[in-house]
This record gives sequence, structure tokens and C-alpha cells, in this order.
Amino acid sequence: MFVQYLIRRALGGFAVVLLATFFVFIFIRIAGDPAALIVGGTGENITINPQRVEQVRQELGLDKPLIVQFFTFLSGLVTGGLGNSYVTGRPIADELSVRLPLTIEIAFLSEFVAWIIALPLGLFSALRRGRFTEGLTRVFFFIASAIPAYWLGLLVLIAVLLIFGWRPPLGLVPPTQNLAVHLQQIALPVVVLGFVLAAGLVRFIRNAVLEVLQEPFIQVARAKGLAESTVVFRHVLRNAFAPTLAFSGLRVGFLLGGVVIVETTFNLPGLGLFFVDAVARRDFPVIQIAVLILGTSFVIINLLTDIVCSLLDPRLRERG
Amino acid sequence: MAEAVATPLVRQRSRVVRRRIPWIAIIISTTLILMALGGILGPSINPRSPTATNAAIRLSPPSAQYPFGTDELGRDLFTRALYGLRTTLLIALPGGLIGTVIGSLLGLIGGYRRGMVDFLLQRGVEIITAIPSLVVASVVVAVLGPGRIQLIGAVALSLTPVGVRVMRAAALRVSESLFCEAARALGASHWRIMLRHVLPNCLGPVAVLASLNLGAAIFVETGLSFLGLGVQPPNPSLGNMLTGAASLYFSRAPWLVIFPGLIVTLMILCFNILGDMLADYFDPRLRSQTNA
Repeated sequence: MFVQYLIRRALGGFAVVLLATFFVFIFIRIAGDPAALIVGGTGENITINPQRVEQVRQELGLDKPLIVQFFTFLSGLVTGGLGNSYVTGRPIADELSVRLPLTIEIAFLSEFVAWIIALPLGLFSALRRGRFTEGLTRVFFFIASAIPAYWLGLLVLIAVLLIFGWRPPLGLVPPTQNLAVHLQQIALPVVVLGFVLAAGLVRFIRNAVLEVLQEPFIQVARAKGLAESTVVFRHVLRNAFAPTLAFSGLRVGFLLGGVVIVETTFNLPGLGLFFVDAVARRDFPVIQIAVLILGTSFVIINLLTDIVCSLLDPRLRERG
Repeated sequence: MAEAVATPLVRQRSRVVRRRIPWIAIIISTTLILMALGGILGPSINPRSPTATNAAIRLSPPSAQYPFGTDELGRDLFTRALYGLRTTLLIALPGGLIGTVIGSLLGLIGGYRRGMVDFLLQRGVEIITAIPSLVVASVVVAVLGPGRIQLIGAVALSLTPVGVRVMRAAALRVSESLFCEAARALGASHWRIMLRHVLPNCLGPVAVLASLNLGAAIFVETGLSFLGLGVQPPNPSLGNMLTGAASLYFSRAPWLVIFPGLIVTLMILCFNILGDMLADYFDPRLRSQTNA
């Protein structure tokens, strides 16, 4: 049954995320003593007071066995107590409630922009096969997939500044406070990331459409006299859509990596910047939570694309 | 199977000879060789120091004397770019190659042996792919610190899953072929079959993978350094040249940003196009359909 298949996938997915978190958890604790880091900072030559280290270790429960620590961490996830940042001492949950919405917003809008760029381009180049369209998608694909998002971001900032004398307003404003300013701040990173993401998408859409065009049912649709636009929108697009959606689901990791990069480039205080700062300061609880969130979103989004795909294409429902 | 793989290759080669000169291939390999030479020899030929400051010439635009201009401390950006290129290549190339080799060996074992080994490998791959590769590399750096060896390991680990996936698919296909069965019937050991029969028939995908992985390795290394997690200043890397001063002064001195990023983009572009051409070369059946 399809429902059973989905449940199995969901369980498997969460097992994967749990294992990933567990590995990060163990890895961190094997590599060094977080308590010594908190007391001594990250400097090399600071003398560390062993008593103080022991005290911190007890405060954080680091003196308990690893397995106990891991389950304490897990139960914290269920009850919402995610622990405190080693560096700022603030509860991680508070930080996340501010940062996560921004990251989700950037990720969704970027993916949306990518589809807006890729869908017409991929469709067009598949429907009008020829040297020109082929060259066009080829050039777009290679350029967009070679430009690192951080460099493109800086280039766009320079270009906008030199041409229009405009730069995004500093200090992020939430959308509830002033939507116009918020959109100005978010527009450039979203467009940059969307452009980079569109690269693979264009190529995939083009191939998916070409493949569907060779199906017999397209020939039937044409033979029974449907207008070409109906053939394309009702039959070709619908059938090419499901694999493309699954493809972009699998590329969520790429999307989230891109979000980390544009958040840093444009200095937007989302989850990505939180993570980067945490790595730079070796703020392990934050790193752990960030990895967990990124992994979970990968699993959830792939489950969702799976469900949507099978709704679109009944043939996919039979597996499992 | 062996014939089906071998014949189109031969035909392909003769067609290439009759065709016009492959300009793109020539341009790409020249660029890559120049970049490699610049990275390896550049710092020793160029007498200037990447860290020598000169307040008199700070933020001067590109000129004959300073082809890439100078930065906010009057350091020569061309020299810094050469050193940065060397740093980037010394991390990305070994990292990319190690990641490719380990990934394809694991994929080979998984695709050939199947069963439990394969199952565990697949789960391992899933664990790493569920997390963005840049984040995987960052976690490694967070734990082990940002030294060169650690960075190579971080890059390699983040690229391993792709190798496993690509190689496993190829090995699954090849190990079902008759010649593998024949070798097994003759009593060849598993390792012999894997290394002498399966691996050579998977070299096409591996070559493509290696090329794309080298591009990806450059992306991961420069990305890490850009985020401030990779090569630490004052050592120049193509990634960390874009942070700090570059992000403060880019409106007055765009050359701070343009040149390092341009080199990175060119290198990734070359590796990607090379990978694409290798894919075309090794699997001409896809040529007509999947060229985009």
C-alpha cells in the first residue's frame, strides 16, 4: 500500500536524521572537551583553571556517560528545551524562533525564483530544438552552475550600487513591521540564489520534457487534433512536472547550503548565519541543533515531494 | 556487454578525427593548465610578497604594474591571487581526488557485493546527503579545526556520497554482465573481479565524476574560506580574499571582489565543461538526447 510505503519512508528518514545527529554528537565529544573550550575560550595560550572546568562540566552534564547525554539532548528536543548557546548563554530556542522564519522565507522564495527562471527556459529549449535554444540553455547552465553564490551576490551588490546608487537597507526589518523595507533587503539574496539553483533545474526540465515528448500518448494527443498549447500544458508539462519536483526535492541540500552562503554574504541573521557563527566559535549545541534542523527539513521536504508526485502521477502510487 | 561498451568508443574516436578542431576542449585544457601552472610556479616566479603592505598605493585600481590592483593595505592583489590559487588548489585537488577515490571504491564494493555491506553504505550515504555538503565540511572544521589536512578531509568527506552513488549504479550494471559471471565461474576472487573486470568498465562514469568533483571541491574549499571557516587570514585563499576588507570596500574598489571570484568561477566552469565532454565521450548514446 502506498500509505504504508510513505510511513516506512518517514520512519527511515527520521532514523537517518537521528543517526546523523548522533554522529555529530559523538564526533564533537570525542574531538575535544567543550567545558575546557567554554572556560578557556578558543585561544591557544590561555591557562585553564581545572576546577572551573570541572564545575562547568557538571553544570552542563558533560560528566555523565555519552549515552545519557544523548538522551538528555533528545528529551530536550521533545520538551522544547534545546539548551543554551555556549557562547552567548542564551536559550537556542529563542534564537531559532527569530531566525528560522527568515531562513524558511529565503529558501522558499529562492526555489520559487529558480522555477520561474527554469520552467520557461527549459520548456522553450525542449520544444524548439535547434542550435540557438540549445546553445542558450547550455550557456545558461554552465555559467549559472559555475558561479559561486557568494561571488554572484557581491557582484550584484556592486552592480546595483554603481548603476542605481542603491544598496539594501541595513539591519533586517521583519515583514510585519515594514514589508517594503523587508522585501528590499531580501530581494537580492533571493534572486542570486534562485539564479544559481535554476542551473540544474533548466537542464532537468529540458530533458524531462524531451522524454515526455517521445511518449506515445503525446502522439495520440496530437493525432486527435488537440491544439499544440493544450498538448504542452495538459500533457507534457503535467508529466514532466512530477520528476522535476522529485529532482528539486533531492536538491534541498544544495538549496540549504546556498541559503547559508547568501545569508552570510548579505548579512541576514537566519539559521545559516547562526550556524556559521557557531562553527567559527565552536558553539557545539548550536551546531548540533542546526544539523538536526537541516537534516529534518531534507527528510520532510522529500516526503512531501513524494506525496505530491504520487498525487500527480498515479503510476508512482503502485510502488512500495 | 564488453562489445556494446567498446564499439561505440572506437567509432566515436574516428568521428572526432574527421570533425572540426575541438576548440572548446583546447581552450578548457589550456585554461586549466595555465591555472595549475600559475598556482604551482606563480608564487616562486613572482618576486613580490603577498603580505607586503604599502600604504602609498592602497586601493589602487588595476594597472600595468598591479594587474589586479591593490587592497586596502596596499598589498598586490595579483600576487595574493597567485598564492590564494595555490592554497585553494593544494586543498581542493587532493580533497576532490581523495573523495572521488574513496567514494568510488566504496560504491564499487557496495554495487558488487550488495547485501548487508551495500545496505549499510547506502544508509551512510543517506546520512551525509541529508545535510548540505558545505555544512558537512563545516562540522568537520568545527571539530578538527581549520588546518590544511583537516580541510582536505572535510572536502573529501563532503564529496564521498556522490562517488558512492555514481559508482554503485555503474558497478551494479557491470557486475551483472556475462564476463563477470565467466570470471566467477573460473574461480576468480571477489577482489580480482572487482578490480580487473568491474572497475575498468566503470572508468567512464569515474572520469566524469572526478572532473565534476574537482569543480565541487573548489566550490567547497572557497565557500568554507569565504564563510571564514577555511583558510585563515592573513594567508590568502581565493575564498577568504572576498571576505573582510573586500566586503567593506567593494563599492570603491570592485577589483577586490572581481578577480578572485573570476578565477574560482573559471576553474569550476572548466571542470564542469570537461566533465560534460567526458560524459559525452564515454556515453555517446546520450549525446542526442541529454545535451543541454
